Amino acid sequence: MNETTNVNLVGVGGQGILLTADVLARTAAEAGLDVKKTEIHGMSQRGGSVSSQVRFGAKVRSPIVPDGEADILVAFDAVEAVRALPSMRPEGRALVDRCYLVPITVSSGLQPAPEDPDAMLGRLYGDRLLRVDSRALAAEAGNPRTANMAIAGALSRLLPFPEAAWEAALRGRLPEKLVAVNLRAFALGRAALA
Amino acid sequence: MMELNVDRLRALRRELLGGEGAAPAPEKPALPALPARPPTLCAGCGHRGVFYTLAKLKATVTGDIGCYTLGVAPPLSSMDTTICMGASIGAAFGMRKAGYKGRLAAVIGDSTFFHSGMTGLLDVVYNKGAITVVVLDNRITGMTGHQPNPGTGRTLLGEPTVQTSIAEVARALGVKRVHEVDVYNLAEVERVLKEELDCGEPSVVVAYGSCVIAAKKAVGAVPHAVDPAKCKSCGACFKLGCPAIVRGEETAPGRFRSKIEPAACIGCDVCAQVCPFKAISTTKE
Ligand code: SF4
Ligand code: SF4
Repeated sequence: MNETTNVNLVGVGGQGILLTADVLARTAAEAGLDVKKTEIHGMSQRGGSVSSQVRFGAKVRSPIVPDGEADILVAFDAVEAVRALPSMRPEGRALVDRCYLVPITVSSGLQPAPEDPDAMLGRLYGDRLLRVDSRALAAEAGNPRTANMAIAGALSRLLPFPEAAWEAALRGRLPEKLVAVNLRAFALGRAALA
Repeated sequence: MMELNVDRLRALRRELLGGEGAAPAPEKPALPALPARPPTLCAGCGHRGVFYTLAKLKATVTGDIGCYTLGVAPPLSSMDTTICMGASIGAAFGMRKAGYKGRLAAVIGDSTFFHSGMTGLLDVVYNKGAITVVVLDNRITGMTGHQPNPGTGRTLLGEPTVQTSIAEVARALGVKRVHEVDVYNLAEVERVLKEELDCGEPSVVVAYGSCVIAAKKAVGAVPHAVDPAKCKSCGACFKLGCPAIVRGEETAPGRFRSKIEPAACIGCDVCAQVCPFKAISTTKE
């Protein structure tokens, strides 16, 4: 009955979330599906919370994932993963990066620090939680700015698309000189979630 | 958030149709307390020093619509009104006409100035409004995704085109006092703003500094660093609200040494100019 797959990508402005969402949407299109995507950025590009939603299936009518209906959460930041819990289906899986960026409200002392992000995640997501350390993988790939493609690689394990579709999507979205290092990060991410 | 998303429409349908044909609202899981993550001016954003200076000079600031509207947020807290595109100038002028005697600055971005600030400025000169219009000129339309504007020198398709000078537009409209300043030179920004805010005539200050994101300033940037031996935990640099400046060691209850996140800092030098103890400097050899 649930023919449309809903993916919610969240994180902090500047982490490459929108690019990742774009690659995912292109991959689904490469695989012949109907795809719709939406994003909330604008001012949130400036260090605020950012999210993008991608939906694909035989026929998708609206780009917005209603609360409680995300099948997969991709979180680039641990605290943002907690914030996104209401978007999830009870059985939906969460792929969450090891990264936690301290919000300026905390680093400047305006708000108290949250409880340990890893503890919160374990409690709220239980065995639906998958972790990835994209910054370590990106460093291994040879460029810290490829962390988002390491996450995409891990995500590819949770979706039925062939690797070739991902690669074509990535090539279509990145300048030639960055393709090789990003593919490397993607492969490392994919291997990390084997 | 009044946007008509699926959840809101479903709730409305439940309300209007008495629940008929609609699933009940899903139960929201309880969340632990989380810190807010509001948008902030980028690390190294040129607008920061201008707002810092306007706050220091205790100017009343009428604001406008753009990334720079973030100047309203603490710790800068340097914007008193935001109404709609172009309203900064009319609001300041109106306050002056209504008898306000204090320092008054209308702060507007370059795109907004071209969009709907020019007519307001003409009104100010024509009707002798003693306000200072500060144009935060980063030569791009930042908030909506870095589209070029008439000050960029490129069309939307990337072709080279005329680059309209805001200072020349202001002069052509009849403004006699027009200054251009470099936003990263705080002493100059302060000297010019102080003079203009107190001059008693229409004046325009074009505060130039290219957008951090559009100009890709983070690429290969050499960060600044705090020398913990010199830092007196005075808190002056925290008042800038740069996301690269974070609390370090607590040296006395509630007093913190400053620390700079090297991955976030683009080395704009503004914090170094603000620190009274010269504790901040570049890490460049
Ligand atoms: S030099 Fe200071 S103000 Fe500029 S980006 Fe670095 S920490 Fe922020
Ligand atoms: S302004 Fe200078 S002395 Fe004061 S907290 Fe910042 S670095 Fe330390």
